[in-house]
Amino acid sequence: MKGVNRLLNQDFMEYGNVIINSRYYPNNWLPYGTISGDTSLGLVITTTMAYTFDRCFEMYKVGSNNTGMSQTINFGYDIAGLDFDIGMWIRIHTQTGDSGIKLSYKWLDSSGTIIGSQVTIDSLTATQNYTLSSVSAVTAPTNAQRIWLGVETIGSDQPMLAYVDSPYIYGGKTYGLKIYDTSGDSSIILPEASSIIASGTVTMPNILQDDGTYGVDIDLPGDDYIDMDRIGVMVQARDFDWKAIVNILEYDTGNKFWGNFFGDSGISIPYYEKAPDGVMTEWEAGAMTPGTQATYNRLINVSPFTGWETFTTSVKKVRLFAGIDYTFLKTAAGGTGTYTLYGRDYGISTLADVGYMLGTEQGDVERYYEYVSLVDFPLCLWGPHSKFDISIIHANGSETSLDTDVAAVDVAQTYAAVADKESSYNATWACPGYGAWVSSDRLKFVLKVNGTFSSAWLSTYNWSFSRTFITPQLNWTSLEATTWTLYRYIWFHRDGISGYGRVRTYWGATKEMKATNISADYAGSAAQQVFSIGDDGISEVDYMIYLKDYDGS
Amino acid sequence: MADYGLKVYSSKDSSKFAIITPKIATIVSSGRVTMSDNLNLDDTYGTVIDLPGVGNIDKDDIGVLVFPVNFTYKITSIQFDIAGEGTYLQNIGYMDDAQTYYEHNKTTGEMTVWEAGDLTDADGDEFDHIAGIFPVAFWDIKGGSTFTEILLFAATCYLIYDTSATAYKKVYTIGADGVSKIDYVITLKNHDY
Repeated sequence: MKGVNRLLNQDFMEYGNVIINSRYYPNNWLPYGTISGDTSLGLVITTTMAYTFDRCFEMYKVGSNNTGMSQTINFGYDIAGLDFDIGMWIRIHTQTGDSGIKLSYKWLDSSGTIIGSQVTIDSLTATQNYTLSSVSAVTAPTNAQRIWLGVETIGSDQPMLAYVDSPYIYGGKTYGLKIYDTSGDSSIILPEASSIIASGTVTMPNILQDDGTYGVDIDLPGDDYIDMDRIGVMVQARDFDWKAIVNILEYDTGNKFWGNFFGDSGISIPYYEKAPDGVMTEWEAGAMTPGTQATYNRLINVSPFTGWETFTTSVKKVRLFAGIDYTFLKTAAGGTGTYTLYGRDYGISTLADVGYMLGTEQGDVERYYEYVSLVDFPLCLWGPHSKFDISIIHANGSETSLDTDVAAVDVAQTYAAVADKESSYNATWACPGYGAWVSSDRLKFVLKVNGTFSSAWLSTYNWSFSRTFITPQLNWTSLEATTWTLYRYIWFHRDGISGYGRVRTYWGATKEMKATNISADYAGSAAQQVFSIGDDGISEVDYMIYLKDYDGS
Repeated sequence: MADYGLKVYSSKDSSKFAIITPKIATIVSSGRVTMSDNLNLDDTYGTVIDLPGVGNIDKDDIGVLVFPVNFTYKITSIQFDIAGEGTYLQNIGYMDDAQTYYEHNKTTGEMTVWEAGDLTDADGDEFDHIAGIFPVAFWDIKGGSTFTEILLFAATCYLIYDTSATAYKKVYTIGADGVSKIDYVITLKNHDY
């Protein structure tokens, strides 16, 4: 094995945004061949079919067309003369006639043009359990800078059903630090190899954070946000306690005793229910009043739970969560709630969208986006105007627009004569409601800001930018028709009558983007998942944080 | 950004590099071990992994993760014929007086035997009730702050109500009656072993 696996997302853990015939593709992989209704392919998530982990790629040929998936590794430098190992594990479950699976690769130059011929690693036309198809120590030709790896269905007969997993391209390494020992063994240090930048034990608090979430924050190196793909975190409980109360029944005419456990209404540190955005809400167990069934919350499961809170795509700090997880039975009716959603400083991603978190609690970390004018266009002649597009994102990545360009604030030429100005603006919008809401749906706001910058000689140009905000799944059953008030915070500065003009929109803290009076229905439930924390839950954890491309901060 | 250490660049992307500094932890021991069926001589429990060198190492420089691999549990049960007709039968689980359970002292790491009630008819104190069962594994620091070795604790944990003591407790079974194998990793930083 030579170096790290060059393929991105080789374990298919990240869903892609490409959907073929309603099947998901793994991120960084693309389809090729003839995409048609009679050739189904996409991710399957099951340990039964996967070679490693819990997912693999299914290729199901039920027509004459053939298709496949590929990934091109662009090294960005000449790899001529370097050796590579290339392979993939393939299982052919069902096969007919000449149908089968082909694994192949191509050398490409810097522009993506093929060098020589496509090289077939294997053409398989018989059923087989997972078997490795591979080549070893193949040498890149002159001018090669990229490697294309593809796996595809072949033949004209059908049906054919195959699963492929764990592809790799190792090699091409001419850098790194090689360290030998006296016996001649060596290891190489590479930027891509993760460094353990933090580890140890930490005490978990008995109280929530100011924003209503829970856990301990471990600062990451430097001041920049770090892509989560570069970070790994493991957390485990080391010291814990638990809180429940027993109620003992007699049976067998008083000879035997049956202890059942219930939620403890007298717990000193409350139980907390955890919302999808991490916000914790106190939950009080029933007081076990004899004759009143609703006051008895029976415990049906309890266990320690630890994890890394990941509501974001990039982070400056790692949030360690830990608590004792209880499931209590309860009787709870559905109802209607009224919510305010706040733009938060951290990101969130869905199948199709990336944006900043929309949460139910106001944050305390300020963020802004700044648009800078062309040089010597510092005057904001019109605007900054602002408005919103409001939509619903569904679990499959599709989107339903509720309306566009709503709650517009038109400040006309208010800013034209000023050098500095900042203000919160708001306007209302009559949300039409959405009765087809399902629990996995999310809300998406796109704040759009535009205007006209001018030079001192009244030469002008139009500008615009937008920021996207997305909720986690909201577990609602319906979005009600109410009038929302949408807030946004605009800041402007110009250097003078020459130089630059700058427009910012803020969010995350008191200079906020928020929407109020959002009304939604929620379902009743028969069970309640809550956590006990700190001294009544998990009081200490061990953790380890590792980071790729660590810059030594 | 550190102004010391060893900088290793990627030739694939010249903007990417790693800096090796003493603050980066090194994995000094890892693997899979079988857990003992018996306590240690000092009545603690677990697998001892010696750290490099002979000097004490500060807890802040050590990282340990331990994961149960194989585990089982040991309880007993009584069948309750709800209607007395043999139609509706309910099996009710209890702590088993034939099994050795231990309580763990957080401060010292010492394990003391906890005896389950023997389920004597009509004596409620002899029935000990179970709220939950799960495997646990962790670094048993025994209240310490510096270390020359690591004690890896792993056992099956029972959350129970000890009726005779009128107390809610955590007790454990060990080895083949609890967690028999663990995976672990130990890291050190700021250390020139």
